[in-house]
Amino acid sequence: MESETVSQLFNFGDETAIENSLITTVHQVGPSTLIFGSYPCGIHVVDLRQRNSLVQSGQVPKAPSAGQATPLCIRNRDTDNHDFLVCGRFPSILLYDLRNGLRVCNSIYSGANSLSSLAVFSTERIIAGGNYRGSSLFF
Amino acid sequence: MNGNGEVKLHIPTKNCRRHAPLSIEWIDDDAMVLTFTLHQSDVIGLVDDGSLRRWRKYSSGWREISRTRSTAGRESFRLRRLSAGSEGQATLQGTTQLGYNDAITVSQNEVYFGAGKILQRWVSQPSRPRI
Repeated sequence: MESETVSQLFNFGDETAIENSLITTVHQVGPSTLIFGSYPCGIHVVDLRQRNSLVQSGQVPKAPSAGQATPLCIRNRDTDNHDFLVCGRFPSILLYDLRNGLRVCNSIYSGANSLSSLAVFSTERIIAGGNYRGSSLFF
Repeated sequence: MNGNGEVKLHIPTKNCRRHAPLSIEWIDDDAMVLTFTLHQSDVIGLVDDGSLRRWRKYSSGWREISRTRSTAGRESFRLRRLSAGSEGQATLQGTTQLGYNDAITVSQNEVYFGAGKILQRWVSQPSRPRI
């Protein structure tokens, strides 16, 4: 038999400035580091070793005309625990390096309206799927 | 569908590399799963009411073995609109999913998931044997 316990790591309801945010994607990039994305355009770092686990928050860059740039998928770029890729309701795949905080290090423009998921195929190739002018897209 | 509730499909396409029939086995046909992952041979799904559920396969089939408390409503996990049906019954319409497509990740004994506004950790620990 197993026993299971649920504990709360973070609640947007406790943060008045971002209380309307909603969690959209969660990914563990290292043994003690979680990254999660939120609607409308948030990206957040959680250090599981700390009592107050949310250590950093930022915003995904978006065009001034865009209402949101919601992250929908986060993946490690390679076996390192600091590089990760983000895609979502925006046309580019974003590369972050945690050693530089939550600043985008590089980006790949896809032309899609939105990219819902991605997988790292090799050190040089990424597969992403999404929506391009109303049609499904893989590239 | 056979007597065990399994659906067997055969896809006879010319370019299909797989010619063996695909067997589909329902795990839970009541749950609306937004995303799922595998954890120690169990299937863990984040369900549209904001709960996390764990299913395990037994010789008799899949069985739900645990679930977290639902966070529906309190977290506005989904927007729902009730309207009267043609026979005066209340029916569920206009469900708007907010796009929780990947809000779950697992490590060895822990599952991290986001439901609505809350990021949660679900820890599974083998209990000590009774003496």
